[in-house]
Amino acid sequence: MSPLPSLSAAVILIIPLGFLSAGAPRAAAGGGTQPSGDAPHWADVPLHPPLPPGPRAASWSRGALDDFVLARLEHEGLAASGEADPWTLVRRLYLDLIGLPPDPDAADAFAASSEPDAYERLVDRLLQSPRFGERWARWWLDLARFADTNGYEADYQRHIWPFRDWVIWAFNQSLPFDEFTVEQLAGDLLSQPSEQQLIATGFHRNTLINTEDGTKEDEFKDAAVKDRVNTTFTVWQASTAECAQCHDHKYDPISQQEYYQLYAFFNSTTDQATKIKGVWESDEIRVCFGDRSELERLRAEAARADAELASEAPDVKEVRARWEDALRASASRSELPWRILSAEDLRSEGGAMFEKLEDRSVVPGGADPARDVYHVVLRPGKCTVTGVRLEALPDPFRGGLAARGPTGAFEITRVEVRAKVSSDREEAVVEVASALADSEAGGPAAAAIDTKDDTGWSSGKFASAELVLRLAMPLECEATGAISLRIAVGSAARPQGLSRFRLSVTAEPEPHRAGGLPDEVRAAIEGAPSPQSAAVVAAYFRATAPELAARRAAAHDARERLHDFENGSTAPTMILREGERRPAHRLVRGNFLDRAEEVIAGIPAAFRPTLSCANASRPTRLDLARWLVDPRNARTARVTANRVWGVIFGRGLVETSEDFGVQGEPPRNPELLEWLASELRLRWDLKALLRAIVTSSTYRQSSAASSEALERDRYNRLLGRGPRFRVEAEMVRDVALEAAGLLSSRIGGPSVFPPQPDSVFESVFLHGPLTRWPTSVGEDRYRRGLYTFLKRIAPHPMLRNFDAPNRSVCTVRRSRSNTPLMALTTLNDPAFVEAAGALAARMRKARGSDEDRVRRGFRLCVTREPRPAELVELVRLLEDARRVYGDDAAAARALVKSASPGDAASIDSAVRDLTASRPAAGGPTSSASAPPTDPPAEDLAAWIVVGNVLLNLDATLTKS
Amino acid sequence: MSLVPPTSPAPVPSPEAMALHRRAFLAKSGFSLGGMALSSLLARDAAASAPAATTRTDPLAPRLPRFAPRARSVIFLNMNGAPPQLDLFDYKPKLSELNGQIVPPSFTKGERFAFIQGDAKLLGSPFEFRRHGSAGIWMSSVLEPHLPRIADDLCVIRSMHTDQFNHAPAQLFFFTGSPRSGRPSMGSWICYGLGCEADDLPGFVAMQTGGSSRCGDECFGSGFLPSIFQGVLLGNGSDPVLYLNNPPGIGRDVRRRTLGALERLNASEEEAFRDPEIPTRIAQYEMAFRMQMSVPELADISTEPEAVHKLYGTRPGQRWFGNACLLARRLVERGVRFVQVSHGDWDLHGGSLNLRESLPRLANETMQGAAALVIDLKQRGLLEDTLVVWGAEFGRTPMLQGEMGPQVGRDHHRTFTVWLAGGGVRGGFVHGATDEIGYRPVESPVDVHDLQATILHLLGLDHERLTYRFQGRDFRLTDVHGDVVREILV
Repeated sequence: MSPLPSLSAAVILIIPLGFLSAGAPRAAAGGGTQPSGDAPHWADVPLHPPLPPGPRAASWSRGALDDFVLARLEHEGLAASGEADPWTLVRRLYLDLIGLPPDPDAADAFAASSEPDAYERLVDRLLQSPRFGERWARWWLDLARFADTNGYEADYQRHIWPFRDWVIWAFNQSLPFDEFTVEQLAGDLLSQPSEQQLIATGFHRNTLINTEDGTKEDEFKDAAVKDRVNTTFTVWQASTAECAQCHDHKYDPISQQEYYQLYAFFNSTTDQATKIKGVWESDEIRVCFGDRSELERLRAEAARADAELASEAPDVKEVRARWEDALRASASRSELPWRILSAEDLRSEGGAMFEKLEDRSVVPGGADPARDVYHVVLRPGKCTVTGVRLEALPDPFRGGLAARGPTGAFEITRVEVRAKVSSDREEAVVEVASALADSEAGGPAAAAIDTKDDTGWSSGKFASAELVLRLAMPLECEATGAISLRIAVGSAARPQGLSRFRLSVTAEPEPHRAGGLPDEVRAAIEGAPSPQSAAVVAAYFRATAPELAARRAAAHDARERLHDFENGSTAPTMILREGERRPAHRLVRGNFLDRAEEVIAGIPAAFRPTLSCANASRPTRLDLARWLVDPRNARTARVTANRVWGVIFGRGLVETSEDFGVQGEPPRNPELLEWLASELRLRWDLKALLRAIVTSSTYRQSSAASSEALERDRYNRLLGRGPRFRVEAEMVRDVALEAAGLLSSRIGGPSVFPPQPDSVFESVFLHGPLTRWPTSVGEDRYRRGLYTFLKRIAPHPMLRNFDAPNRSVCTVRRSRSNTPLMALTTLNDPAFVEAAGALAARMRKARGSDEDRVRRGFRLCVTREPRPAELVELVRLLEDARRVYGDDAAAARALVKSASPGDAASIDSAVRDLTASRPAAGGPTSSASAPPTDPPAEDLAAWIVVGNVLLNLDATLTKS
Repeated sequence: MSLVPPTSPAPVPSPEAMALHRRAFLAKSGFSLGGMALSSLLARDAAASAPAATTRTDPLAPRLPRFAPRARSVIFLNMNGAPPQLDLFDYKPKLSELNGQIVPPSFTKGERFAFIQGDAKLLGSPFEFRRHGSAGIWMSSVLEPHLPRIADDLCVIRSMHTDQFNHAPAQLFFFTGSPRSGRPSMGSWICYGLGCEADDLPGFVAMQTGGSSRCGDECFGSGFLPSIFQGVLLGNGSDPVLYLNNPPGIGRDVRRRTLGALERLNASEEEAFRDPEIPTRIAQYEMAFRMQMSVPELADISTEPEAVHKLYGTRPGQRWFGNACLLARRLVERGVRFVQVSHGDWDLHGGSLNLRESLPRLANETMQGAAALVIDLKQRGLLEDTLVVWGAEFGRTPMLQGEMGPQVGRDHHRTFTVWLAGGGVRGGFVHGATDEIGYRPVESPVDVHDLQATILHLLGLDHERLTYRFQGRDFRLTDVHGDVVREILV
């Protein structure tokens, strides 16, 4: 068979289905958009590797990929372009694979190499670079709509950056795309998922959360579920399934009911779309990003201290026996005279509301912030008060726990007592001499009366516990007297309030633990001995025995150290978890309040293959994820290969890379798309696909366009020349910092806050911890763009001006505009001015004449040698600037100062900073001759002007 | 002038069509973009009969509307947080009569509220109402003395309603037509459709004088449209537009010199690669240079005569609504298409933000500037083709929130009032009405999408045809809704 170049893959593929024999017109396959009759749409036919069109122009083609391109070009009567010069090629390769410009010396080494496979070796080296994952993660994070905040009103910060690091890791490890897919969509449903697999499920936790007061959960949960459906089908199927939310899809075969069958896959996860507390924590896991061995060491240390405390050594046993005897004696004593009082005038600073029960205990309800302060008034009547007791009681409606929220333990960080002994007396502070508790397993009682708000008393896991405050002086209350308590609850470790509590007072001269024992301990002592009761008693012994005070303190300290370290080296990250099944319904016109018939999870009938699942009555997200990467699911391979191609060439072979439906555009070179998709599907190896692309002759072409090429193929859709387009927002930043030698090479970790103008936060509603931009210091000022903290309602203006989305929704293609605001950004943004300063310093340190130094700066930005005219232009600019600043020393000093690192204190230190080699900021330092001593600011300023121009060159901002 | 009926549905420009290749290509080919750029948006006959407007080649080059416009620019006074319409414009004596009584369940059945429950008590307005202007438009004493002065220019829509009752989604809905994030805002859509007549200023300028937007940048963001269409935030500091100022030590002469070098260097690149993007980039740097001149000139209100300052009640050097209103006039005078001035916080739930104290304060902060803007535009002959809109994301309930007392307030409510002036709307006119307690519209209800459709219509844009393809779908400001409110048109 001699396939005509215009004969598209659609035709080739459809042949087995009898399409061609049905007499379909060729045009419909080659460039048509509508499937004819019942013929399947091109994107949905099974994937078959196409037959190569036969060798052509052997001197140019390097393989099947090139043959497909050439066949198409020849059919149009166009020629391919020759290879780009080695410097341009190396820069292109660096930008595409690691997102950074090459060091000119590395490019020279490549250009000078006579090894036949020097290019392939360079490709392999870049694919192995850890920076590869960073560059390609950026691409994926747009699809995943990854951001650092919740969106909507308060737009609080969220913890999900470990997901970003997981994506980097996955690309660097070459995690096969099928596993990459399954772990993100359903890692939680794999058997015994690893920490990494759980982190991956953050993909679908990137949906927005609306924490505005008064928001209704059902409305925003519905929005999140729809977003998950729409994103999944956009990312893996390039399907506009979203259109079927309100009615049957107008063009593609997805009925409204089928849309809600997809909805059912995502409808039963446990996360909430409006809450950030309570259930929230069950949807996060804590992961280590710091020194894992130190973490392990501290964990072991804490475990050792706990074991020490739990020791059953003979001496301990002896102590314990004595202690138990005393305990039994005290248990048999009658209750001490504590008077339980009604809690009055209850008030919460954090919005909790209180219910009082018949036993005079109080149940906090409503809001439960991480920290709260309860205000209570006791009116004991005419009496003497020597002590106040707070009982923290379990609540049967809260799982028998003494604290609200999932960790089950409370912490009282501070109790303050004030008294107004009669109605005609002033209220005064009552001094508390000491505090006692029956259990201090989570923190000592004394911590509740010290002045520190970050430590407190906690009974640990004991369900009931009591805290006794011994007053320094007896309080003589009159009949109208009132005692006010201020009780601060909640801490970082135990961010929740009490389940239930009760207050009492006593007049005993030596108030101490009153009822003596928690109920379960009393029961354990008085009841028949059993392993359970022995365990309860042993735990109580460890928590309270005065003889164990030292060991208890040691264990407490070890846990604190562990906790501190965990704070600095581990982070919570949001994950997806499956919960109770929530029935899904078709929603009339997409309205979440208007439910029609119930639907079960399933795949639209027209999609192939059919879904296979373990439990046909309840298909799961895992089934859906596996269906997406089923080798018979042709779309996933086609869509992904097309997108990867689009990143490299600026546009996909299917231009509508987000829509492979009948309304989308058909592929420009269908055979090539089929070939790429088939290559990808072989091992789902993105690096292998990239390698195939970037080692082709097609990729290596020069991007210079002839007039004819411009006229015939303005957008280079036929691939007769190399790609040329402005790099994406993050890369604009990275290229400037790398050329300047400022870029940090640190990979991963919490998002960072490079400087941004104060006015960015002035126009937005700010609430919570992040009301000002906490500008990073040191190395974090110079991290790659993908690490910049993304606040959805106020993204960093440099990135926004260069078309970076705010990632509220999945973005397949960014617009690539060209605006005066971009010009202003790269000319004047302090980060770019600082980069110009550092670039100026690098140039000045280079060897040789001014011309040589300018050449060095040009090559740091653009890689290739400057053309003679370019060099002349830049040197003339340098000389002009020298003259201007020679006459205006004040301007020179001002420019030097503004182009120096943000923390440079003075002009002298600025000059020093720019002439000394820069510490610890990543990029290679120039191996140049010794810098001129004490450079005048005038000269430095002139170089900064040159640096500013270099960073704004079209050639710097563009991948050519 | 009669409207030119559109002849055929406009084809959809792809992102690339919007982008710069074609623009640059046309520039190089010597085409005028007056009738060419975005021709897909224009009815062909309308374009053919129109004068060639410009030879500009940038994405903000002015474009002809689909049909003859009533307005050329819009000034949107956005009252963040939602003013209480029942204490300002929607006079309800019955509500005062029923003050303190539980709201009849017939009103609240099936309703969802942000905070209050269905058994809330009705709250009569604590303010007196009087009629103003020749049409006798009701206004409360809070609006006096300034707003009554423009009563005959106002078109008050009392029957506005929205789908959303929480701030962020409602603001998104009001400005982007969707309660979810990610869509372009109204000003961006309009600049995308019409470009900007100024060649040294952005097409869409946003200002914020108090409070803050609950959906942040998104109420002036460009969503999936190219970033050139985003609202540019104009501050009152020394750097009124982000990154506008050269770094210290780079004066205008050095900047001119560097841009000259940059242009020649980029031209050399263009010679080598013949990439049409390069001349576009050169042009953008030129425009940036012009903006560096024009924006500070524009932002400097000290050149205005004393009488103007007095009219607006400006407070030079401060973040003040009156200053922003004056700037808004200067912006539309210079051809800026859409100006959005936001002020808040009108979220008068009661307590520290309440009706009795906070509402008069907010009115005092805003009404003089708003009235002055209309008066000033009118006396300069600009009101005819400038549409002024005053409104917010929703309104406030006829019921009180919490208990009666000196610090009483109202909850979020989906019925509200907006007013418009100039730009082809009827002055001294009231449109629509609510029921006797002001709970919901009972006459000529106007949905948010209807208001958006009407604003586009006044600018000569058909809200059903101003579309942009993103993620495989044609998006519109008005989604699949919206009817032009013809009754309010002149």
